[in-house]
Amino acid sequence: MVEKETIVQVKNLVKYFPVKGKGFIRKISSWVHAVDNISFDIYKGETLGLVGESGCGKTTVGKLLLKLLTPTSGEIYIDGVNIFDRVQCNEKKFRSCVQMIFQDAFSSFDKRKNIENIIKEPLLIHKKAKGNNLKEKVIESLHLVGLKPEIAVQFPHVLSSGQKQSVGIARSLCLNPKFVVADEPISSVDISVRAQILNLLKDLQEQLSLTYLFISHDIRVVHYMSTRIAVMYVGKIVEIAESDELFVNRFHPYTEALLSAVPVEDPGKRRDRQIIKGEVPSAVDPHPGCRFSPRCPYALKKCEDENPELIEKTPNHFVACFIDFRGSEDLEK
Amino acid sequence: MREKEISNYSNYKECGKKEESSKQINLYKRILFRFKGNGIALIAFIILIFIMFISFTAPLIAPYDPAKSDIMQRLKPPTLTSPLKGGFPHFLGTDQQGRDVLTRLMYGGRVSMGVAFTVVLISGLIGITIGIISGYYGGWVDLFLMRLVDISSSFPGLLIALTFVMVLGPSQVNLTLALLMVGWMVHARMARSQVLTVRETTMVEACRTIGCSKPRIFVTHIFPNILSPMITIYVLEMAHMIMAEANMSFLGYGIQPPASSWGLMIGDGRQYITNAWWLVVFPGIAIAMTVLCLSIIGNWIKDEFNPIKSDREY
Repeated sequence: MVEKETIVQVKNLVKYFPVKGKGFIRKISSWVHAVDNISFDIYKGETLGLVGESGCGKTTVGKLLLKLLTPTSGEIYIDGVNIFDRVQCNEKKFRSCVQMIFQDAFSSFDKRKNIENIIKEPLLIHKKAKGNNLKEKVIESLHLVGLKPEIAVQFPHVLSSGQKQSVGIARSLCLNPKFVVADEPISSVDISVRAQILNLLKDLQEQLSLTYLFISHDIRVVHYMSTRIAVMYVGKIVEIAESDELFVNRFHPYTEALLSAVPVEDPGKRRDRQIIKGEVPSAVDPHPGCRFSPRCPYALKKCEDENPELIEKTPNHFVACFIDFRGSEDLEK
Repeated sequence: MREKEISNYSNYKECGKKEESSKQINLYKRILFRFKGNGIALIAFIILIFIMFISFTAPLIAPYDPAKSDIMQRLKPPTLTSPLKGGFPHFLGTDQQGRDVLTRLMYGGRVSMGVAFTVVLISGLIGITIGIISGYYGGWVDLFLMRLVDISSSFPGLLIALTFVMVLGPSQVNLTLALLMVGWMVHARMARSQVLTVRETTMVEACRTIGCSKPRIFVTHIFPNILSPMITIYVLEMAHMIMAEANMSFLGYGIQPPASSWGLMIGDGRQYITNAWWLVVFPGIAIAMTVLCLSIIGNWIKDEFNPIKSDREY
């Protein structure tokens, strides 16, 4: 197998948010373990899908990659540079090389500026273009995402949800980034144009040789978009595998449950769903064992006391689980 | 494809041109357009401009001398006929010393509005600066400044202003200073809360991802977004300050005779209210109209400067 070039390397990343108590002093009473010691690599040109239910820390990972938050501990290397090292990492260079596509594009715009000025701003800051060239660049970016240049004089609130997200994508891509974090890019878009946005992202990836971290809670969308998938559960990555491999073989009971929740189009093919009982445990000061153990149907005594590490079960398929569980499904049947 | 792009580009350029030319077409039309769908605001605006114009040009257009008393003509009711010696009729009557009420109303407006506008201008600047610093830096700075605001606003404003004027002696300057002391807190609170709201939006995060520096985010994104609620507060606070000035003058701790202000006129006319209603009614109407107009305009600004609500075509 050809050695792939790593573009993003996340090492033992931890982010805790303080929970402040009430009262005058507001002492920190506990910590929310939003991201708890996760490590993964993203290879050049691929899309890593990050999937998990709401509140499991997906967006926090995205924000950490963008340096919008500072981690409690751990390192992130992008192109071999530790982004949290002030000496090593050139802020300007970093900003033009890593970009984010926001969940709600509309709220990420300055509502007082028209589209032209919104897309212009990153170009101005990074001095990528000047004068007339600037206008041409704006048009180029709009063209790239399939919008008409006339839209440039409009204000964001008159656009449709799909157009808003397209403008958001245009703004993110006008600096020619290498790595893009797409944080649930379709959740604010009307269902009818979701596929369009997804295909746009895919086309752009090919055209501009982008690398994506695609964050979503919808595993089918992630499957469609990604080359590899990482499954997150309450601050931990429980399984990473090639996208197609994950749909055939999975070793973690949570992934199994997640996949069995995917609706099947053909009513004749309906299978028994594995429904996990209980609620998502709170990320505030969680117990030391496996996070999934309170809800896991196969949980052992060991699961409650010790935290499983990610181990490579089969090539390129990492799982954090003690149990020798093997959920697989013949898609043919 | 390239051709198509170029044609699109020229389209876009024309779009820009159209906008520019429409800017130049007609200033009046554009101003009127701003009031579309809100006729009351337009009327309020016209009345306010009228009152301000009359007040500030009082020395040029007032028919009488505001301080000159004419004991023969005292307490004359409003009339359209001119006094025997000829000249101008006392449209709004005369007061207990025979001074023309209309003239004093004009001069009074000068003082009332002058005080109110100065107070709002300065207290607004102080308040906004403190509020922005407090909201932007947060932490201990915020805690300290906001406790300062809390302490300042926990005293009854009128009492502080009265004490201040009593100690330093009543004059227009001292009155302005006294009202400044009680007026800046509103602006500080408002500015702080606005900065806090805007600071936490995804917009600011997005700005950081495209590489905006902190000062740039503040100047080009946060500040314009907090401006419109601040202007609204400015205008509403003007109305409030006109009332405050009137109260102080009414109580005798504001403007001193022979100068006049609306509040002072009501205070002086109070004793004659049973047989000379015009002494209190006209200044009262002047205050009410100004305050009402300012309130309406304040509300109009609030809607007008909201880019989402104003569903006008640009």
